[in-house]
Amino acid sequence: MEIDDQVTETVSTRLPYAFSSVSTRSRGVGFAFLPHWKIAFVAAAVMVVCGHLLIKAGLSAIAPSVAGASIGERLAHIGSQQFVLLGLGIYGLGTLCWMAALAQTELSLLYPLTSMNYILIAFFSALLFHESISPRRATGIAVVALGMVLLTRSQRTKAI
Amino acid sequence: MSPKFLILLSVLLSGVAQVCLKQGLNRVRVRGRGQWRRICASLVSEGFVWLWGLCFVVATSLWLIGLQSVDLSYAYPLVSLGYVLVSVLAMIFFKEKVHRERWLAILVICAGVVLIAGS
Repeated sequence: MEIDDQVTETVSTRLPYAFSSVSTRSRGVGFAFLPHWKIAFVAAAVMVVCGHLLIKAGLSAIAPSVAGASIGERLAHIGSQQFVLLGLGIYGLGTLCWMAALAQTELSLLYPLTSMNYILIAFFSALLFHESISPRRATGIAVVALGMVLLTRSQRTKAI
Repeated sequence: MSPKFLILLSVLLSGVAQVCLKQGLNRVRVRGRGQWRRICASLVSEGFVWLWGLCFVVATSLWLIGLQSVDLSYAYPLVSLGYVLVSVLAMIFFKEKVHRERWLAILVICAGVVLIAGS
């Protein structure tokens, strides 16, 4: 408890993060300066999905690799596309956010929540590429969303 | 190796990768000032974080190779198998208490993923 208070005080005076006032008790000692895990998780999911979409867009924009090209040549070819590089960068930032979330909460809670990526992918695909969402896919998305709500509720009922 | 086996292996490795990352992050201890530099330094010096990176790269490669000859609608439901594996591993290694509600939630998510993949 003593350490908790000390860390909270240090953080709130030195690092004015938006969520540093939230109690550190449920988040582990020493990570009080990180954004709340839910914020970090959603940021990670959005960034990872945006990264994937950018990489996909970049790959679609370039000509396929020459047949018989070496792995190095293929990578250089793919890496010359700006969208691919941007996508990779955003994906990397998303991974950092994922670490920030994972450092603060349980793996058995957080990992199944990554199914949110399916929902985001469907949403962005419909928005950007005008893909239609079939009734079955819409049902699947709703079921995944229900599962995610159940998961976060399972966390609330339990004291960490 | 058959492409279906590659996909399965990739899913299992992704799960193991997350367990390694969690273990690596658990070992990072941060106190007081200059947190960011210390976090970066301890992350880079942590063997489990490197193991996560290795598993991640191998799993992604296997996934891409496998996906060349397996339908995405077959491969995606297997990803939800990873949720079950990770939960079991988290129970074993991190003593996380996975309650009945959480298993139920994971099963519901698995069902949803199967529905999305089949559409």
